[in-house]
Amino acid sequence: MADKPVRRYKIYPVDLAIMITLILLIVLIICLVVGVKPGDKRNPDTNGDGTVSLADYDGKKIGSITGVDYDDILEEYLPNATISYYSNYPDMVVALEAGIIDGFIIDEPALYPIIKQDPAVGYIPESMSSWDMAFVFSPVKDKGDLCSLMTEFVRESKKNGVLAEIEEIWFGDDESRKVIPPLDELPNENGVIRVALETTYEPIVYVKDKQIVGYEIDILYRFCQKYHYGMDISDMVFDSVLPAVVSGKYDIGASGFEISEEHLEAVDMCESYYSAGTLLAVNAGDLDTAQHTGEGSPISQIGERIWSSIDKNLIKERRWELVLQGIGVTCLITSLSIFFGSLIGFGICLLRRSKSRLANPIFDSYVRIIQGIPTVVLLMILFYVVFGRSNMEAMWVAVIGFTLSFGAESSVIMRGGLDAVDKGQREAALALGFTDLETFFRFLFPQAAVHFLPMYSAEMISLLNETSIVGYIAVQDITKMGDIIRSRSYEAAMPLLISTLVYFLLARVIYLLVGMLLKAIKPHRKKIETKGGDV
Amino acid sequence: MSMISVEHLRKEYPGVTPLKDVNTEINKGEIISVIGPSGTGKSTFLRCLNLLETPTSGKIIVDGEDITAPGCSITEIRRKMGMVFQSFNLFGNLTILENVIAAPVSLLKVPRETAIKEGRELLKRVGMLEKEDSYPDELSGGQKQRVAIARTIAMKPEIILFDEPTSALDPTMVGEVLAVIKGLAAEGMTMLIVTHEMRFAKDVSTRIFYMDEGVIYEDGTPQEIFENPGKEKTRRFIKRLKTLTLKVDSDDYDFIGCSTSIEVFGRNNLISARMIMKIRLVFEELVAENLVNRAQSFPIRVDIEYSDVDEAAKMTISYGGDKFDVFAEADPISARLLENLVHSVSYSDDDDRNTITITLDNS
Repeated sequence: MADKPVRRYKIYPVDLAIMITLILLIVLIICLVVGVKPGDKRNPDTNGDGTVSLADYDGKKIGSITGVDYDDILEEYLPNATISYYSNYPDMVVALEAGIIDGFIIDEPALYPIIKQDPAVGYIPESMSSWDMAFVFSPVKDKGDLCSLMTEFVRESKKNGVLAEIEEIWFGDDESRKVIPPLDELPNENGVIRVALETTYEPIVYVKDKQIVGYEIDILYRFCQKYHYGMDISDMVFDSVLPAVVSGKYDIGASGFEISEEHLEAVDMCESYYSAGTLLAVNAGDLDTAQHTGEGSPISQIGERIWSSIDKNLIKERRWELVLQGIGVTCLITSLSIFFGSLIGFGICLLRRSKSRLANPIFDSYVRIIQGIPTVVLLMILFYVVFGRSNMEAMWVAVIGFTLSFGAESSVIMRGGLDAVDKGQREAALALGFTDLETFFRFLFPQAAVHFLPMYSAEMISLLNETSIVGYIAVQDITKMGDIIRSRSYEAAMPLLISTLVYFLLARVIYLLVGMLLKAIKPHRKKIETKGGDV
Repeated sequence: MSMISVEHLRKEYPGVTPLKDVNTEINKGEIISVIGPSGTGKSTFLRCLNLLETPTSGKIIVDGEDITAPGCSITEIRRKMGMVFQSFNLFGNLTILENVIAAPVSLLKVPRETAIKEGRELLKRVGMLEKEDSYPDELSGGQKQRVAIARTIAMKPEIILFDEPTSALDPTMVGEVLAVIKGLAAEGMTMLIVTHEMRFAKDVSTRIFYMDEGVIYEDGTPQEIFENPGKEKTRRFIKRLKTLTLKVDSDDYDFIGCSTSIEVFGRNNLISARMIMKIRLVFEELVAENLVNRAQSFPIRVDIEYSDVDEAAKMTISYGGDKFDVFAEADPISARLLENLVHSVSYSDDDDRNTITITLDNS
């Protein structure tokens, strides 16, 4: 056998790709962190009346939040504005600073913490109409009429000054008072109330020191304390709070629901405990006639900005622990789903080989049904319908959902690989006296694996990326943790970059592991170890 | 007692029944070639013997054991019956040596060292030792088939079933594979070979099955089947006549078209270039040079028959007009050209048609 030429050192395209990606990421970090300068003057007085007022924003792009019906207010004050809908305030702050919107509608209590943290956000002092905030209650009343009980509690609290006290704590400046005692100290002899909410609404519901706190949480806590209920909170995407409550999986939904006819059609709502005044948040620079010029070159501030960004997003309140938890959840869901999904896919491939007339149509339908449902819908169906009444943890529901989805995909991919292996080899092995299973494991599957593994790794990576939707069913993965951090730091760049990096690195790990596996099973032109001398 | 005995074997597929009623006995040491037209169930018969196809009905008794009976361990039987396939079917994920030793090591529990030693000997025997560390996709078809044979012998089978072992091969590689099979025959291996290589079948076999109409239509020694077949269908198959008819209706006929037809006919039927040249020459000299210019000759009909077995061609030229022996009365140049070319000539004159029959052989 001729000797192969000695391989020289060279840069492989893969290494080059990693380097280019990393460089691009670093450039992106700098652009995003440094790019948005607070106080940029974007919208001077457009109607030329000498002051910046609501009227100047009519006809501009205005953000509004889902879950509260601001349409009437917008119709009255800003009839010509173009409305974009966002599911939380931090997103709108980022959109405002990036110039995607020119202002957004926000209620007073939510605005104050933003202004406090972010000097780039200002507001027009003209107040628009207010709306009434209340909890939503599930129509499935398996714990009695909580709604009436809450109404009674709210009325009483208004009378005896408790509500005023709560308001003072959460809308005030004294951070030391903003504490909720541990939930497990609640007396729960009357059962545990399950609460669905989203934690990106400071000061109403938000995460502080890794704990869910806020004005509404305080009310709920005191309510539970009084009526001897336990409380169990699930943090999910705001858009899925209402469906979660309607399904009966949760008893109460919170995080700033407006008492509106639409909501009342689907759920019960208690008496309002807070009437939120509505303001228009805008770029601080719009309001300031003394312009922010001559602040010095932004380059000199890059280090400082990046540091303050890291501090705000990771160090403060030990938020890096949230990141680690999120990474853990993402890894766990991904790896378990890949493992069990592969087992299902492999099992299907194995069973398909049997000539059973029933097996094939069953597996075909399974694959077609799963492929025909978007994964997020599949998860919701599992969470609210299939396991709606069970107390299974959302994370396991996510694992089941992704396992089903990956099982279908992997069976299709493995089957494709098996089809690519020449059928004659099976007959040859059988004719030699191997059993059907030996044939499959020794000759067919190893060759099929070489065909399907590259596609398999792509599928695993796409599964990894798809797990970012688990926030819809109250699982706190890295994406959801990024949202939570973003809702406190009012900064999009760093949390998103962290998520990006995490997904990128995990994808690399999958890619490398599969590469190693492929290398191990691929027939590489090798010598048999036992050289038994010349014949 | 016979080694394999087949009783009323029948195999049905939806729509076709390749095997209707096959009965035979195969004894140790026999080398049986199974011949017959395509689609007459030769391969199906072979594949039923080791149950790669499940018979619809009938019995197959191997060493006294009915392998079609439920509960029979077919994997045990298969270890005694090797099979070589048309498409080689080497294991793509194993090297050549690993292909050969896989089954003895796993199934016969031969120690790996011994298996490697024996495997190398087998590879040497089929001339493939040099390639022991190669993978199947690095070999030519003939090489793959030789390895496949080595892999089959490695199990020390009592009989080897060959399913058209040279049909998928480039003609240049047929020889090397047949040589290996001949070697096995010389060693007394019992073999059942489905083949289209008639000369090989005749030379190497001790017995021939001619299969047709879903049964073993004729069973005999090579001499009986090839030289004196008992049944008409067998005779037609054995003679394997290839025919071509050319018609010339006027003197502005398509001469190039006729020449091309002869070329294509020859190439399609693997007729030697020399024989094609002879056929073309006869056509050119007699028809083109001497008959076309006689107006009364039309229509001219040329029937060409070529027998693979005899490697001889027969050309029958019939034409109209007065009595005229075109061979005898050809122009001097044509006559000289054809003189030493033809094997025999005969002329007849019936019903106002002149007919001349020329035989050409391979000399």
